[in-house]
Amino acid sequence: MKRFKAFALALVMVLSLFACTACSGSSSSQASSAAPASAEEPAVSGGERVIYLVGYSRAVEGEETNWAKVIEAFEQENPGMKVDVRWQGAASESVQNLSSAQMAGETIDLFVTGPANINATLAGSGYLMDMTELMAPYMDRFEEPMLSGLYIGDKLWGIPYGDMSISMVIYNKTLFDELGLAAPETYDELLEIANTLKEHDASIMPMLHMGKMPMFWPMWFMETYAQTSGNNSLDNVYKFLGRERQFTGAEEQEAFEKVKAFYDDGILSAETFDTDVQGLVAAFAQGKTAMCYSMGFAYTALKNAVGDSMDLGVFPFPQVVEGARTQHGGGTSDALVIPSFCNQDNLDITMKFIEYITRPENATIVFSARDLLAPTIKGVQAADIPIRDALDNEIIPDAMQFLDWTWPAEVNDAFMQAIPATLAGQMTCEQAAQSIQTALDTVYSQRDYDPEWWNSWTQEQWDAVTPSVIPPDYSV
Amino acid sequence: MKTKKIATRTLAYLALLVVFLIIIYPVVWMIAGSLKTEQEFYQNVWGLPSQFQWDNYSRAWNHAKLGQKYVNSLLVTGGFLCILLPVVCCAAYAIARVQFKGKNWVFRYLLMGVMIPGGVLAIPSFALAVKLSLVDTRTGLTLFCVAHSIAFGVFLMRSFFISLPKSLEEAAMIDGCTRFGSFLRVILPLSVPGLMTQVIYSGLNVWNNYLMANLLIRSPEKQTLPLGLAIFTAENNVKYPVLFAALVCVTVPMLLVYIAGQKTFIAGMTAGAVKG
Amino acid sequence: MDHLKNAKLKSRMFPYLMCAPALVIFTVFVLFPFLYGIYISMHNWNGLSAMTWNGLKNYLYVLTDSVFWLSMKHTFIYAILVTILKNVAGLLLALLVSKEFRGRTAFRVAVYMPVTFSYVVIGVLWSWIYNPTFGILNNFLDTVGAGFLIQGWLSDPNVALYSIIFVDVWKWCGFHMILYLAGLQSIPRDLYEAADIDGASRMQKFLRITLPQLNSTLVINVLMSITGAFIANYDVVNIMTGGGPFNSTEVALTYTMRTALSLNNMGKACAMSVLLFLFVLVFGFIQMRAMSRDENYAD
Repeated sequence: MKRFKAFALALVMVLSLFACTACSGSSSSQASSAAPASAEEPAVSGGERVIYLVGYSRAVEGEETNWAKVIEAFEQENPGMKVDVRWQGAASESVQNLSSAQMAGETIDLFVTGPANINATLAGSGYLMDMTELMAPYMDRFEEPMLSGLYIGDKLWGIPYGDMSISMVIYNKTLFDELGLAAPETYDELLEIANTLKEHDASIMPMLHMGKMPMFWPMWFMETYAQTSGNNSLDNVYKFLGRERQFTGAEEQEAFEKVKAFYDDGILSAETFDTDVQGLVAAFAQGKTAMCYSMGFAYTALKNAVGDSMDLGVFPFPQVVEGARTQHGGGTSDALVIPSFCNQDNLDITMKFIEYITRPENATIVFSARDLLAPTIKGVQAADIPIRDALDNEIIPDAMQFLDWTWPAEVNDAFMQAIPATLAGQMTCEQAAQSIQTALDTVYSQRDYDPEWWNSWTQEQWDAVTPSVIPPDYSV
Repeated sequence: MKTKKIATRTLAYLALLVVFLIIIYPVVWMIAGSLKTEQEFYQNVWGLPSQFQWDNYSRAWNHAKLGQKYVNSLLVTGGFLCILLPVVCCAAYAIARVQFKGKNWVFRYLLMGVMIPGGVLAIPSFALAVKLSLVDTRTGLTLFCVAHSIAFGVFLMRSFFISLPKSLEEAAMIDGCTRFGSFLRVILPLSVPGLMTQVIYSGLNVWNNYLMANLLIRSPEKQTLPLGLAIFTAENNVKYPVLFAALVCVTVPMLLVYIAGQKTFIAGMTAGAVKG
Repeated sequence: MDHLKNAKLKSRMFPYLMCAPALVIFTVFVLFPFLYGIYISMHNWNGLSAMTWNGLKNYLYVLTDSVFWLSMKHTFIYAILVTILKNVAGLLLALLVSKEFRGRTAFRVAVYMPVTFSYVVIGVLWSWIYNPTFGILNNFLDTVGAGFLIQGWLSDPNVALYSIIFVDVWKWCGFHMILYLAGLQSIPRDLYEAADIDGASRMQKFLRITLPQLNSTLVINVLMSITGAFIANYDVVNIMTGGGPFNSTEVALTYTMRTALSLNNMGKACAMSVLLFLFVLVFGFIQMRAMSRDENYAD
């Protein structure tokens, strides 16, 4: 009897604990099915005002400390204002992070995200505040090309705050010099180099690519398509997305074929399909490959791994179509956005903070742990690295907007599958182009896809993303 | 006859050795990797480090604040076991040994939990957590993990209880025990292997759980160990030696728990002399 | 009179009270999200904007998705192979370690180590072992003259799935070994002694005594392997190949998560989860019906 009572008592305790947690004071608002509501928690603590900054974990060691330094200086210059910063999760989890925060009723005033998310999901879902008027006084602080992709429907949805992300070929300069090779400009020159390398060492892979990471395959297509379309690729894509142009034309197929040629001619090899960043770095460090087509972060990773054992150089993606101008995807690595569910009472201090960190001297501190390829803020020095000349003269001037920032995720997914499939002979180039078209058709029929969503928004939707107050110009 | 015996024994030993090496080598490699510098790691992937870089461990510990995360993981996993085991044993006992109306339906209902896919259904769980104000709480994480392990736990314990002779409780109750008392005093001690199995299986899953933890825990000071490791892997530029050092730190306790637990487990089996 | 009624009531309530905590926790934390998942599956939702009602269209989209069927095919192959291998390996290892020998404890500990590793460790470890350029597996094969066995372990679409299956078995065989060991050690000695007196051979003793006695252990092990292959292999596949190359290792779970997180199609992903659950339900119950003998299950 006693035991039974004890057990029943324990049960009651457990259940009441439950009830307590369920009823405990919650100021969290549940996501309604309309556009996201703003959080109700006031960002005031003990007379202070708090700005909540959230972003994915900083990839570069020491960058979190740099941010902390700048934040501390900001707080000193502005007594009564605090910045609560949280670096959490992977870059790929940014969208989930933001939506979870909103569902949980968290306040986020500033968010760091990869810019691709802005067009792909965030802006069109009403998750971002329209920053056009907010940022009007400060627009001259940014390098023009870095704004690419951040203006959608003539409104500004984020500001560039990072390094330049640009694609290029990184190569083992020491080996090239040894064999008397010069950086190629055309595809034929590249092929010659590949053959020379193989003569020198039969086991070497002339070029290796991070084929295991699907998101980097579309870069190849962007390069070749820029050339096969007569440098009209961006325009063509807009027309394609708007259903004015099919993707199965000759230019598109040729672009696939040009990528496939790299594999067929032996420049790329089968190992590519199982190589990720670390595999690439290790292969370089051990001299098993001499070139890779990648982006800035790969340069940093390679530099760290090879140290002094070899010199690295870069050259732009070669000309695959005679007489064509090469163009590479390039844009900012990170964008700062203001979520539409931010605390609008904080807009003034948020803008103060933005003004502070976009001053060149402060931006320099934030990014001092990186080898900046090209700054997003005017006045910040790019790193003085050996590849500086090649970067400034040959690669950066040809930057164009990343195509995968424009098309929907399903189409990007189709590219990520189709390109390696054509290389491995699992798909013909014709089928590849068709698969892209099919992907877009499916998106139209199965999801409510509208490539120009800003044209069909209601007044209510616009109100949810328009700031209620435009703070004054805080420039000092 | 004797040569045949020696031959089979040698063969058996050889087989064991091969299996042992296959299992052990990757672990040795990971430990060796944790003691290399980054450059050495990429240039000499499989060999031993030339110099032991012990400071990889302190870097891993500090950069990821492993100490705090250890505490969180212990709280969550400990709490998990403290709630799961009683809950599961009580329910499994009733289902296994007591006749009551709806028994089979209760069992089938709970068993379906074994079949629910993880992954996507974590996201509706988050919506629920918001409603219950359990977001960013270790309690919430613990409760969700308990719920997901109930199905397997009930199934496991029930099959243990079923295999015990019916006479045991009757004997205890004749001696004046209540039903519940006989459960506590007689049946449970004989089911230690089942309990240990849950500790080393479900407990391990919770210790290593990333998905639910990542979803529910949002402030850095409440993060569990797997989330801490994510700092090292979520980048495009993984620092392997430091990551391996962190991994070694994370894995060692579970190993120790297992080493301690497996003796009890096997001992329980043989001492119990229970028909399987 | 009252006392008797009281006692009878208590004894009637006893089983329900015992089951209550489990039922409550399970219902709140598993059933409700699952029901909400079904609700989501009937909408078109990208996880951010408003949901729009879709009825059962998502289910149609899933069933007409060729990648979905491919992933199901892979999941079935995975489930069957993994179950056979894990149980055979577990049982063999258990038999090996059931006899006393020097270093037995060390061996038991070593074999169980991979079970304690998180998938992060496993993924990193094996990605490097399998690496075609400088992975140790290909190096080793080359050194011992078995160069013809060299494959693109994770890059060849024909081989990749099996490479992952091997890793899964490698991780869990220690756990199954433990379960089988416990089962083996609970078999009464006298059964074997009686068989010895009757002059039974090793094989006969194994087939007639060991296996039948292990029945309940077998059921648990098989159930765990099968359901694990359907609903718990997301981490291992995702870390090793992410579903590639060319969808050759895409299993149901990885495709579901990809649909939810990369393609932002929550409705379709939830529909897939529900369908997956139904598959496992049917499969799981068939398996249990076929294997269970001593259950008061059909009452």
